[in-house]
Amino acid sequence: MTGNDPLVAAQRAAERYWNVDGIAEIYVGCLFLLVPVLTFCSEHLPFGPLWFGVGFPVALMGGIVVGRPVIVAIRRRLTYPRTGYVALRRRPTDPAGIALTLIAVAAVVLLIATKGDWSAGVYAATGLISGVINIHLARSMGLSRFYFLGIVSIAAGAALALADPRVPLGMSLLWGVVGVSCVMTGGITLRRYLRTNPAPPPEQA
Amino acid sequence: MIGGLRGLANLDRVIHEPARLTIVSLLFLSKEADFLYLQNETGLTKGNLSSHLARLEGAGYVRIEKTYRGKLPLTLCSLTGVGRRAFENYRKTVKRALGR
Repeated sequence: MTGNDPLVAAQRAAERYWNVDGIAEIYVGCLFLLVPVLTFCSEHLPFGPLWFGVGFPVALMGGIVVGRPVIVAIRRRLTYPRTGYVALRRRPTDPAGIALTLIAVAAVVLLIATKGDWSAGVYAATGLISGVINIHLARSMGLSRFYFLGIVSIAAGAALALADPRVPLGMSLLWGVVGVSCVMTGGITLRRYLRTNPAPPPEQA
Repeated sequence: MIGGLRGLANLDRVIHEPARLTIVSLLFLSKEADFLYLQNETGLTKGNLSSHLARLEGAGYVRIEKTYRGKLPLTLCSLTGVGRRAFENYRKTVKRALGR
């Protein structure tokens, strides 16, 4: 069916439910905040470069692997007793989303290739890719706060590309800003969700 | 009757009821969902939702599993294979009839 298919609206509503409580956003924001934290550790604590060189990939991979189980465990306590539980089926890949991401990556590669200074390109690239992903999520789920996150990512990347600080500091600032924004929007959403949906009486599921 | 519109006369009456159509649409997109989620998303009362789920279960379209999460009772609903095919046929019939 076309875009007017009511099933499309139901699909969007079902996917929005994954973000109804802001818990996933808070988790992702905390993962992003690992970058400034590990950068600080690598510059100020013993074993210097190991903190970032080994710590970051391990923390990132671990964070991705345990992400869903951790979020679901938190939801079992907070979300499911209030507004119920649903396990979604996987949606077929969105060609528009993939195309948008590929165009962003191509633009970034071109920017880096044509501009002599690669570090500024990396900041702009990272901000742009993160921004495009967030804007795509905003469009597909109809959640306007992801437009805000997209704009923050792109603006932070652009600002750092202009300022062009040395790479560890610049990446820490970029991911720090994006991480704080995610934690902030997720926190506001969670607060609003808990206020709108009080905990049920103890005897109910 | 004109062409595809003829199919509307043979629409599956189990699915072709607003509340049950909403329930089946939600379950079509899910592996499983609990009673509370369906109640929130459909806006139906507990009694109403139970009644429609019983009708869908009687037709073999929905599987209902009563279990526990810890000590709390939990009712899990999912669409059966028969239910999925019935919903897909329903959508095709409506799409053909309305020409979209």
